[in-house]
Amino acid sequence: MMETARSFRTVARLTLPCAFGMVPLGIAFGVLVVQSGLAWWWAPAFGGLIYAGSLEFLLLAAATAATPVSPAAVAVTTLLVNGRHVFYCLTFPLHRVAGPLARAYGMFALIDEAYALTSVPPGRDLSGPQLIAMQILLQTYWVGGGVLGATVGGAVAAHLPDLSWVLTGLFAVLATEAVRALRSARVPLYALGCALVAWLVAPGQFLLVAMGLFVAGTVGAAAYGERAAVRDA
Amino acid sequence: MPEPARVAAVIAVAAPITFALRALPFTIASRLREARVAQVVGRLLPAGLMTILLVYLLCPPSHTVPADWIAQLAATAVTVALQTWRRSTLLSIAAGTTVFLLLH
Repeated sequence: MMETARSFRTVARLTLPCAFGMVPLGIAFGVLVVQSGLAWWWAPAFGGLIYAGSLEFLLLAAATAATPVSPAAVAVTTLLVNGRHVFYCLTFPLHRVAGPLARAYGMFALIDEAYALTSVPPGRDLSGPQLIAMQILLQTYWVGGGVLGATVGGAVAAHLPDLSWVLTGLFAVLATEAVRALRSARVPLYALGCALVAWLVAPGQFLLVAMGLFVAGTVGAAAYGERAAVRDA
Repeated sequence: MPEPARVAAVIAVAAPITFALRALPFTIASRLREARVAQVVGRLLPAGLMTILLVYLLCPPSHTVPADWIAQLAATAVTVALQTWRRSTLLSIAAGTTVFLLLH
């Protein structure tokens, strides 16, 4: 029992920076839901069923726009905005999660923050139950913020300091740790190059293009290295 | 007043696609994990993807300069420096947030 409490505290501490970023963002989403003329419970409906921050903002705008948006446009937008998630399976330790329901949830709730926290130590070494607890906490921050924003609304938002930067800070920390783990400047420099190309050539699809270029480049380099190793052997 | 049916239809399209994008790659991930190339890529991926996500947050692809851009950059620089030096996530983020709130 003590053990369980301690391991949950570890998870809660790990997700704390995410709470500071995700709760205010969730509140902003909830406020927007009621401002768009929807009932408050649409905020948890979006966060509970789709659960993809930036996409939810886009879809809320699409769903409440004066001119209806076609289902095909919604599908393409979803594919493009969330396409980057296909890469997360390469490092997310889903194999530690047991049971079909828990595994399904682990995949459903694999947002950027969940991927990022589990990519570098100490989050990389979480057990299966800890992984799921971490993901449930993250979704609680987002959906809870949404409910708060949609019900108590502007009254709460007005008294909060602007914490929008915290999420950037979290990714800055995680990027620093990931680069440190590699002990090489080549990978982040190559990633910066990919980002620059995507930023110039395809700003509308920045994340997908930058990540696609990065993955293609590393796969190519790794495959070439593998061939060279076989040839030299 | 937006029609609830339209909102429900949007969710009904977006939710399964989002889940599929996250779940389907895992059906080949177990086989991928055994491949040497995938192991190399998996090791390099976090540093690369995290760098790209950070650029995305700091330099919006909309090509507009945010009003609090200087505050964001300064806060990020402080956070990266502190994290490199002390390696305490909460300390780094708290210091960065303080810088952000003071400057913006």
